[in-house]
Amino acid sequence: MARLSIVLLAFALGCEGRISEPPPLAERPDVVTPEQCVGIIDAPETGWGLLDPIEYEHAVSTILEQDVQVADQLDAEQGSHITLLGAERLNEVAAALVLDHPLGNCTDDTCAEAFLQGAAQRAFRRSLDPEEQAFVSGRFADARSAGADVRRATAMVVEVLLQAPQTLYTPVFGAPRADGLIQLSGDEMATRMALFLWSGVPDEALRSAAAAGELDTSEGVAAQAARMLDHPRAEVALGRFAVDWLGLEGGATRDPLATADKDPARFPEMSDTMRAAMRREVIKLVGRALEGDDGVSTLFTSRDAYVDTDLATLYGVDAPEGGEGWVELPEGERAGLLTRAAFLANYAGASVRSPIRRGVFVLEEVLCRPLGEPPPNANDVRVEGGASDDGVRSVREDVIARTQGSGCIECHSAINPAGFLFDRYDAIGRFQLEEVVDVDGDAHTFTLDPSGDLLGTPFGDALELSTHLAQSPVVRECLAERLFEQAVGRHVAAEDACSIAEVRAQLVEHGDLRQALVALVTHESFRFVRPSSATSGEER
Amino acid sequence: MKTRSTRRSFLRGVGAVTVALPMLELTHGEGAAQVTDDPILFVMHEHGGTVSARSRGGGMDAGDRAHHGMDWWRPTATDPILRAENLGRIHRGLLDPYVSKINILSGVDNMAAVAQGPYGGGGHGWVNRTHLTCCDVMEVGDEQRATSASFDRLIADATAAEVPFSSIDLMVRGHNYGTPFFQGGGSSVSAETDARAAFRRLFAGVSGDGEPDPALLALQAQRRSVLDGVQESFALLRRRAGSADRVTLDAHAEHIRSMERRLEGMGAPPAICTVPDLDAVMDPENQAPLLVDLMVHAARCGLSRVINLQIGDLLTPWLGAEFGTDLAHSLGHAAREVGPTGANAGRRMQWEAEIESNRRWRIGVLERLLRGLEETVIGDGTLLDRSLVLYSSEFSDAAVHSARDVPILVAGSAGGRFETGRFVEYNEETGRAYSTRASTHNLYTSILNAFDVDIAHFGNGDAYVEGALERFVPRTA
Repeated sequence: MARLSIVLLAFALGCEGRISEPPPLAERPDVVTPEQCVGIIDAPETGWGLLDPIEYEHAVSTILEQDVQVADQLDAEQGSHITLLGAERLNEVAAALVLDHPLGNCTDDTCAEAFLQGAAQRAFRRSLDPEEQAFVSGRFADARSAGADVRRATAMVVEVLLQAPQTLYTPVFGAPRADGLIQLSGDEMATRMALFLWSGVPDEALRSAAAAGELDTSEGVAAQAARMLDHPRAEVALGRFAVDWLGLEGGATRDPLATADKDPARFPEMSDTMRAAMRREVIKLVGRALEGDDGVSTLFTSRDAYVDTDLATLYGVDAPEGGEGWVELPEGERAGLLTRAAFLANYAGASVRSPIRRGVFVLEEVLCRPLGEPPPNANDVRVEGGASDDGVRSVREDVIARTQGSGCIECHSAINPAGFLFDRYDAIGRFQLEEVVDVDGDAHTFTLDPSGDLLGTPFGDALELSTHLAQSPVVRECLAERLFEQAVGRHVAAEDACSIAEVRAQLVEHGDLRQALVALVTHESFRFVRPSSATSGEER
Repeated sequence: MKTRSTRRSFLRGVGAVTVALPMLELTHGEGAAQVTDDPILFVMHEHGGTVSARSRGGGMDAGDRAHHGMDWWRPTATDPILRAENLGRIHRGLLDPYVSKINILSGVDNMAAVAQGPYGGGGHGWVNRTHLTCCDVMEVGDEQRATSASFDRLIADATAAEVPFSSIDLMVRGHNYGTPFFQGGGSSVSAETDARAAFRRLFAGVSGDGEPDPALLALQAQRRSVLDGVQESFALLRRRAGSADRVTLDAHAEHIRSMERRLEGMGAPPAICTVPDLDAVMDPENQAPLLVDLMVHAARCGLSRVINLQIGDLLTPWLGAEFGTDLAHSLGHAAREVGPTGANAGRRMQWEAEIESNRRWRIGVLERLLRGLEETVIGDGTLLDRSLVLYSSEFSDAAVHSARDVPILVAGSAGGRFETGRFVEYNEETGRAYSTRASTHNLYTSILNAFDVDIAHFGNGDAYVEGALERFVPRTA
């Protein structure tokens, strides 16, 4: 089968030459269109996935048919290869879980056997082959003959299931084809859908649909996807997407929003509950974007906000009835995710906003325009205005002055003016018209000018920018790429060109996030993988 | 992207309260019965570099412009005998009692990073992946991955069957760009950051009175049976896996086997080893000494032959924060702002005060380990003599991301295999000029040879020369 040579969103790394807004992919001759992809299915080599802590927690809750909370006790650092620490934590978690769990409340062997066979099916997310059935029965019988009572023997087998590779990994056997691809079985498809749409594992209904062959057709997949997106569990996956995309869990040079240092003298209102409210707000907004038929516009321009009393105060609006709920934010101050406290506080220092970090985010994460690794002499020290040889500088003046050198200005000529568009939001996202720079106790007041530009296109402020982003095909293409990465749990590869072309086209045309998600899972390529032949697997 | 918040939220659950752990004094068995003649390797990694002016090209910044131009790591005299009065500003006083048991090696480059990384090897992803692996780096998307194991794993794997833990990996939590420890290609080693959890794991098999506890033995039998069942489930799946996935499964199954071995070893009364008294709040200031104490006690108990500690690039506000930055990473970068023409020239004294106390605190963590090992007398020597403690960081000058002349301090003689008390200079030039033929490849080759790992050259082909590090070649034990 032909493999098209394609370009994804692959722009040269770094900032050589002048950076300008790239043309939409649809206008580039070297980018494949859905029409060119008819009949072409491909996927990069990928090893079996390993459930991450959040997915594993859902798997255990499903196996035991009871909500459990264990994600925090597992090794969050490991990728697709389990670490010794990870294996030991799993071992401890499994031993602790079975202690208090009813495990079917069985008092005789027949009852326990039935419970264990069911638990094993939920664990392996499929029916068992005869050898596996014998394995489960055999382990139980061995424990019983070694003197364990029914309850203890049941617990020991459940402990095994909770650590079995069939449970922890997402093996794919399906139907191998001559071209090396494997078509997922119904059960494997169910697992893939659940990992993407739920950050979890299939429930009974999804497994039944798989068993009935409903996931073999795109109509059947679409029906299940629609059901799953309406299920409360979908918010977990969506929340992870939003949190990942906005980088709220921290990064190389940032602490997580939940713990990042904020100057208590300047921001006495900042508290753990405030930080949690900020995070919750963006998850709720992404959820709302999924409900409407132009979700992308909602993401970037909506003034709807889910707030608690503290966050309402920060936004200068009345608290919702009952202390928590939806409100409308002031026109002229807020529009969409990029003007919300979570984003603004996350891309700021302890006391002063960071135009540089905000600008980098817009370029790299909203436009998918990677800037590459900063040069080692990029200082990453506070840029907060203050005294200088030229007099007292505002934050904006300080940013400009410190990024003029060669080796800096090449990227900062694009970064800075994009970041300045957010200048009316302080380090926790409060709206402000002036800033005060303190120099040895003397307050110097500057009127804030939120004008700037995005890759040469001028805007008056972040609101104008957001309106532009909401309609930009480049932004939608970028969002399609981020969604695809979430779906397959890895970076986009060249072989994904045709898999991603359809969802990209859909999102550019309609801006409908829900439709895009359904398009992603119903696309034929979502049911194919290429097993890894190399000796090192891909990270999930 | 790291999801550190998961662990943080876990810590919030137990943190901010005083945690009292059981203190068990064990007196059974022969004195130090399980400490054999085999040397123990300790690798301490300090994230974020030291105070140095070594550029990415190798020359030393003169300190007449934006950079401070100082080196607080290197001894102040070229005397090949290491003397307390010559110790650099970061070590002085703290390491005085140990100079005769320490080597400081100067002029050793991380050539794997220098040769591969952008900007002359300075990228965080490259230096951290290569620092202990000397390997080729694979780029996937915007991340870098190590393609082979860090050198300590060769010792851990070789000794896995002899000890309860193939390695013990701990960390003082703090900002970092990824661990330098790798089990293999793309597979990192996770470190325990919570001293209490580490205690539970390490000393779970140690009981208080030295007598086998029947209830404990029954429980252990059941736990062995569970692990046996897990191994059986691996066998069922392994048959159907392709070669690459089989490698993943086998590595996982090896972790299970390591737990099994530990359970098997628990039947016998444990060797003499004092279980440390852990009673402290869960912040780095108090965690660090606890983690070091666990390392010392684990070594005394013969729990492992490879015991590692990372120190995150953390600020030390309890010692004063005269300069003031959001991240320790920024404090390091400010080195090139406090020189005479730097943007923060006027705050040089504040910067010096803060970074000195910060970096000396880290050396204080090393000192606590050395003290604990030195106080453990074995025969006519000490546990420190039996050990090899490698203390290093991924950068010399973090401000310019220099992976040349990386800070290297080696304590202990690995049971007489290395001479100690020396300052070994590999820089062939004098003054601020620089030229060397030594790479971390060679250093690790020497250490591996000392630990009976028969290897001609460790790491990839980026070293200046292959083989052991000259003037740091182990004697045959």
